[in-house]
Amino acid sequence: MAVLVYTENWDGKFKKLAFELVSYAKKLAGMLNTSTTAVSIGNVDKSELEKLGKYGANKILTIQGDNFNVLDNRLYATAISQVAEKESSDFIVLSNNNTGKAIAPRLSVRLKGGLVTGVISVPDSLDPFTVIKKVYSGKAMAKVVIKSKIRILTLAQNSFGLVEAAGKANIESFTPEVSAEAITINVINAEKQTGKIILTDAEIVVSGGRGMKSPDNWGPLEELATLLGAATACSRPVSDEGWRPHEEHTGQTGKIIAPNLYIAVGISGAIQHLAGISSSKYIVAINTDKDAPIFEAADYGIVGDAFKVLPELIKAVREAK
Amino acid sequence: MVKQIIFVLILACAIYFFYNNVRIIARNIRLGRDISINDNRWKRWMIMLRVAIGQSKMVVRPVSAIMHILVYVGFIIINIEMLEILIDGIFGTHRLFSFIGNSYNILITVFEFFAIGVIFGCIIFLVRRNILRLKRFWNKEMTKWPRTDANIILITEIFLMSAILLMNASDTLLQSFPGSHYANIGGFTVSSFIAPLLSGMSEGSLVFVERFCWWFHIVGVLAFLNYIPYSKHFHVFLAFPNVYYSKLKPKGELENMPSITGEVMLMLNEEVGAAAEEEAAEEISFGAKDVNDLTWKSLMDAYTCTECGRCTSGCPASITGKKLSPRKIIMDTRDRLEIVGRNINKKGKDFDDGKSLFDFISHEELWACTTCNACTIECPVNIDHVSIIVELRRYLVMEMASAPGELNSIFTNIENNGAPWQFSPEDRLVWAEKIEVPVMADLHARGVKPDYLFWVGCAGAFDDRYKKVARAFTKILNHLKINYAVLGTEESCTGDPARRAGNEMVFQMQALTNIEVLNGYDIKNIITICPHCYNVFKNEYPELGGKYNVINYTLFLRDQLESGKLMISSDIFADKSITYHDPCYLGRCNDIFDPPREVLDTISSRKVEMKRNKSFALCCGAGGGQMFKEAEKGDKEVFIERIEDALETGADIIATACPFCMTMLTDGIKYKNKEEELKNYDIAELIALSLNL
Repeated sequence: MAVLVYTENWDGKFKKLAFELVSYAKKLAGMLNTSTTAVSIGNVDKSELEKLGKYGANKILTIQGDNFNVLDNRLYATAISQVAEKESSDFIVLSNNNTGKAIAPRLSVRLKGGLVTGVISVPDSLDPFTVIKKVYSGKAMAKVVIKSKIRILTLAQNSFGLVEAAGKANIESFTPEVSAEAITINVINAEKQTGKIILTDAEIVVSGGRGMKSPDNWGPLEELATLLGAATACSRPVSDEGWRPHEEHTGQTGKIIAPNLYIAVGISGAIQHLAGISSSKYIVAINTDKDAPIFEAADYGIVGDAFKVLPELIKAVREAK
Repeated sequence: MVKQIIFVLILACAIYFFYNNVRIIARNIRLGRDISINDNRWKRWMIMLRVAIGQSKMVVRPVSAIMHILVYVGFIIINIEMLEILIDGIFGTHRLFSFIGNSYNILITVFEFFAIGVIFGCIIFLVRRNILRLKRFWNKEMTKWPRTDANIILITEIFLMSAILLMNASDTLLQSFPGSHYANIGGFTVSSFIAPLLSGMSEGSLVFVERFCWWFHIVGVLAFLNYIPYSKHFHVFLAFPNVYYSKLKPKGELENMPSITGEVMLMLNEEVGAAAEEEAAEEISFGAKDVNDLTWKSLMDAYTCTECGRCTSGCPASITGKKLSPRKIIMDTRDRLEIVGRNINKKGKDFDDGKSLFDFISHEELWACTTCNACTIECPVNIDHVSIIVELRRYLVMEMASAPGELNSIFTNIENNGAPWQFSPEDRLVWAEKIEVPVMADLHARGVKPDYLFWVGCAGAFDDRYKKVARAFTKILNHLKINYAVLGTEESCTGDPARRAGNEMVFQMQALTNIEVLNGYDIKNIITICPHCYNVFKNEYPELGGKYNVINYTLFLRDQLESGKLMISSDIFADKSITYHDPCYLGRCNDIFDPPREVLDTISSRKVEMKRNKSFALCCGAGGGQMFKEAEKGDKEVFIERIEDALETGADIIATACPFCMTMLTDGIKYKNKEEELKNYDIAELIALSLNL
């Protein structure tokens, strides 16, 4: 009966995302007069699991073991559907990130449950069960009714917020029945980036283009990023030239991001680049060419030499701090 | 008598085997999907006369053209002599036609000159292939057999022609022997130069040489005839019908899929859809997986190809080191068809070997195509490579759901936002915020009917660089006081990138929705700035019920300038050297080469052409969905190759007439760090600036 919520971890740690999901599930459970059960897959310490309790999880089922260390959407979907059956849960909540979007449809098929992705608030009504999601690139809201007994939702990130709840969760472990053939992924080697803010998670991004002239000129840009707690990004030509690592490439064929603040330095604003950043809340552009297309998209524009503007900007940020 | 019997037997066998092989090839071609090509007969005959008989597409490359014409004409003319040889062989006569007297010597002499021509041509060809090693004969698909095949053909022809000359030479000598049964008809100009080489020989040896050459020649010709169906040389027969059945439509127009129309109609309107679906019910799979899913014309293309490689040498993907080679696509189709044919012969009609065209052609090759049609322009026998590529893409996308990830996201974007990029349709008029643009819905509400619809396109609406072009053109329209309107938020992607990437479903959904809007406003004239939109409106919407007078803005500007309505008032570009880059979907695909150049003539007298221009212009690299994905692996990006052409001219400005070309070429300029030297403007911007707008 409980509301089931899948809480994803990264290297054994939960992010804000997981706590937001639990907060949401707790609120939903309150409306339904039932409890909240969180499912965690992979090796997570007890102390970390306990954190979920702070946001209202009544029970935590943890699935551990060698087979579950690697994210495998099919395998995880199998495990979560077994939990749902065991707990006879009619409501399952996942994040609307890549993992959630990959697992949720599989759960929907397995459990014959109606699925709505990208939900932005608690149900509008419980009978009929109606939820709200954004459509048309966020220009409109749709109310969607789920008619099936089992209802699966993925929650859009940052749409509910964190709500702490006093309480302590029972932690139980669970072992799903998985056949040997179901295990199809074997990680041979993993390389990790350390000490950097992940681009797709960053709230502020400082990005450089060909206008930076040379890979040696990134110093002030990185300094500004560090000061702002921002991630660094770049345009495609820059990563093509090997000035910056490929994972910084932002745009149509690179990463598509939507930070609150995007600072574009020496980026002219070709459509392939803007297609990847246009959902940013505020865009600030620094460019020597006043006719550069980026100024069309920018909320604030500075026409000037980046090598003069950046130090001033850094100084100003320092002073403001 | 014995000789005659042997001769007749050999001849009968040769004809029988040849007939049999040709029948199999004809059967194989008919394995293809049935389409009817019997329109425009007169026009087709004229094209065949010009392209196949007249070799019009060969002459673009003069050296190989002259050599080929020597061999081709020689081959045809010498066949007249074959008639005499056949009659002589059957009836045991000798030089039967010599009764016509002196004319006979002249005739044979003419043949001998052609024989020399053929030998000369073949030697040059062998040198080009084996010593000069022209790149197009050494591409990766030109491995052992295709290379050997070419050499066998050339060497055989040299031998056959030499035999004729040697035979004639010994004949001339034999005539002078007293009491010889070789009638004294006199010598022939060319072979009389060879005769002295044989002069020391006895009569017996000479008779042996003469007879040997006669038999060698005729048996050789019959053997060669039977070799041809196994060889690329089959083009000597198929070139003519293949050119007759050429695609007459504009090169940019892709074949419509009625089966999809049914599906889409069903989604949009159930009643109409049901009827349409019933009509198209026979078709069960979309696109092509194997040869029998391709049209018979594509299969005829495969048998007609003589592997000259002009397509590949003009292909932007091949030039920049990508895996795609249009010639290989055709050769693979033929290889696969041959295997399917042999399976039918050996194991019956229903045998399935579990293989398909995808065992020959990789996805990487297919996704490297820009659908620029450089290959189809180059092909001397009008093979249509692009159709095969698009059919295979359609299968990958609609049956296998295995398009590259980036393309999947543009399909979703087009479906959800009506644009290949993820921008909101509500923002479609943001580009016009600061200028005056009449919107169709407003005019309609006031009962006003504009003369023209200005179709802005997704790039004009969302690409910050191209918004400037949309504004420039709007200013020109306002300046001319044209009675026009834009659709604004009612505009939606024409579906072009989806169609060319193989997603016919998304294309037709866009097409049918757009047509409904356009017909709702009773629109007659559409002006486009984007050539891709232009191509779709002009060539592809009519079949789906959208028939409009479609005008590309370069034509519109040309007409306005010509009629004096538009007067260039400033000379800001007069001393600038301008080069024009032909967008594929304006030039090659729709034959608009001159109007943009004529427009540019009005603002500058210093126009320069790039080395590859007009129908041979190199693609910018963005067509066929490439704009929205990473390029396939290669040595170089296409746009860099193209910008090098432009830089070579030393021009100050590269003028374009397409949003995709603009993006790619501007990128190219940046990669080369030539932003100071070379500027990229659209023709509309140059005119607007020249008008001080």
